[in-house]
Amino acid sequence: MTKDWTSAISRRPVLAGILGVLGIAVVGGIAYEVSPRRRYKPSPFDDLLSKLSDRENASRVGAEVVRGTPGFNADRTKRSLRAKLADATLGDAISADLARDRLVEVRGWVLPETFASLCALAAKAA
Amino acid sequence: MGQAFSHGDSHCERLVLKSFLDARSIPAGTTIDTDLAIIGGGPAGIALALALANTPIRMLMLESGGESFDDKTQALYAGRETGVSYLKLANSRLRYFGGSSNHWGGWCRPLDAIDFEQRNWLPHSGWPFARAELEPYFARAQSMCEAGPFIYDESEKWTQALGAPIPLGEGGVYTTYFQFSKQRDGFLPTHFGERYGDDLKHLPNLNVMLHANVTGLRLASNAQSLDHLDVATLQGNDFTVRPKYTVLAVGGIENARLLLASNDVMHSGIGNGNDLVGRFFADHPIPGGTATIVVFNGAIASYYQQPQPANGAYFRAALAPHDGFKNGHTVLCSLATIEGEVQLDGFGQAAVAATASALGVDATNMRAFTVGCGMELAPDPDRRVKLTDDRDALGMPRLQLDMRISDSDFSRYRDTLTELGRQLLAARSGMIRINHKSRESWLSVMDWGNHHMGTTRMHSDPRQGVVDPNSQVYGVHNLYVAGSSIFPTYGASNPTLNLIATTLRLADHLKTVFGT
Repeated sequence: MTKDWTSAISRRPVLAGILGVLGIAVVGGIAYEVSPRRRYKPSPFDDLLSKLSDRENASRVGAEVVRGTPGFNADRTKRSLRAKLADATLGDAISADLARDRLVEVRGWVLPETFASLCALAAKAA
Repeated sequence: MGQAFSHGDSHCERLVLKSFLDARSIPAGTTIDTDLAIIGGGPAGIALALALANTPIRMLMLESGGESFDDKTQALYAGRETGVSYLKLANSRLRYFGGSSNHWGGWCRPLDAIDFEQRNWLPHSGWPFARAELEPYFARAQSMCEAGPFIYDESEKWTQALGAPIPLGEGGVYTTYFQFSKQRDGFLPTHFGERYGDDLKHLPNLNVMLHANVTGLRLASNAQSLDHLDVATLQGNDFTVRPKYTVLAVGGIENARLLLASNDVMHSGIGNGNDLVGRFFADHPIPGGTATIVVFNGAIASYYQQPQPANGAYFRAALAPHDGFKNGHTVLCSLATIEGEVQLDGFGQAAVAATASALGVDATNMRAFTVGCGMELAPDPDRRVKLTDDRDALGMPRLQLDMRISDSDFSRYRDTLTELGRQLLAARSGMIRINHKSRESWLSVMDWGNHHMGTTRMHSDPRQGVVDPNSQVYGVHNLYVAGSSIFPTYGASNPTLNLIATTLRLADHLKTVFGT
């Protein structure tokens, strides 16, 4: 009598293997969702957008900035921000805006100009 | 012929007096002589009487109402309102003993120094004296308001145990404090009639007459002095009061009405040779939900939202512009209060999260609050009360109020809110959303403070004021005005404390006039 080949394979290692594969898939998926590099499609502003630590919400704010700025020019904004942020952190740039009354209103929210512009680029990149 | 009526000539007689006089019991045709007539039994009139207590000056206070609310008396206030939506004239004040202190909120705060200054960028601004002139009177006014010790400048010291003020970056807005009137250790503000009624009954040199409506200020034929007052009751017995001096203290609207309606000798009304009586009316707009303030760490001291007790006073904080910022940015004193907690919409949550993140701040525990407002209006001669052809039950012309508010009044307040937002961001402590931009949006949430001011403005130039720096009506040597109708510029502080301070100053002047 020939022994069924399947019976020769222990079930425990197989289940462990399947669970392992599933685990890798889940962890990988989460990592994909969380990783900004993987999440956002490439844009001409990525060097600037890397300064945003909450790009998702910034993008939402930025959509309103763009909507409220007829003729919004992303290239001009990009050049302006690169000049401002070349040797400064975003925090420094915000402080400079606040010191010089460079503020904008976005749906009533009073925001530093540099931050609002960066948000607008995040929206454009989305 | 009028009947002579003696009063106040015997200390013994006055000390046993247990009730006020009732004008309805005065025989028609009576003439009453007195040294000083005080027309009106509200905070100004009562403060004046108390300040002149126990002097040789015989005083008669004439109050239109009784000791409690009465529909028919209150209806004498009814009038027309035009222009920007405003309160009903019949409802925004109270016509009985104690006056509008019977419904005030108890907020006290002295006017700022800048409120007294003439500002080049603000037409018609400035008082004829500096705030320092009132400093000697504020503490006594505070005491009459039962608002605790006069310690506005020490508020932060006394409230620090309740929590720190909201951190603000350097700039034009700061945390300021109101103190609150409280009645007999309770939270109710002082109702001047209830609180001081018994004191007034026992003043040897004062009679208080209720239900006495002054319907005319009658000048001598040369128009340079007040000869007598016409007094009427709703029961129909009219009589005369012949005072040596008179103080008109019937509120920011009625003061003007009585001057305008007394036009038998001066056809434009008393003190109105330059067409100023009734003009420059003002109130404090209190639009609701002007902004939303977010505090990133969620920590906010209780005194921002409710009056809190400390050192014998009740304090509540507000966010107000510094005098330097007002001048530098041409804004008025309009200030912000913090009201109830609110939930942000999705966009608001995103804006807060993204901004806090960019600032490197944890906003996990953030809380948001709606922002209230006490707004100051710029002086406007076309915001005014004037007589109409309608008559009240006593035959007095009713008033029409032409209410106005300019776009610049809103935009100036927006500038202050923007500055507040900037300072919150600079301190990494929070942020602000300004909720109204268009005029229509502001007007849709408009309410008013019931603070009637400006209609008999004080000025050192008779061409620009109704009363002189001593509160005397220009051209009429024995007629004075007390109350917030004399305020030529208004500030954003509630008027009661300040009008009492100016009234106490007037009392000192009258003591000099009477040589006491």
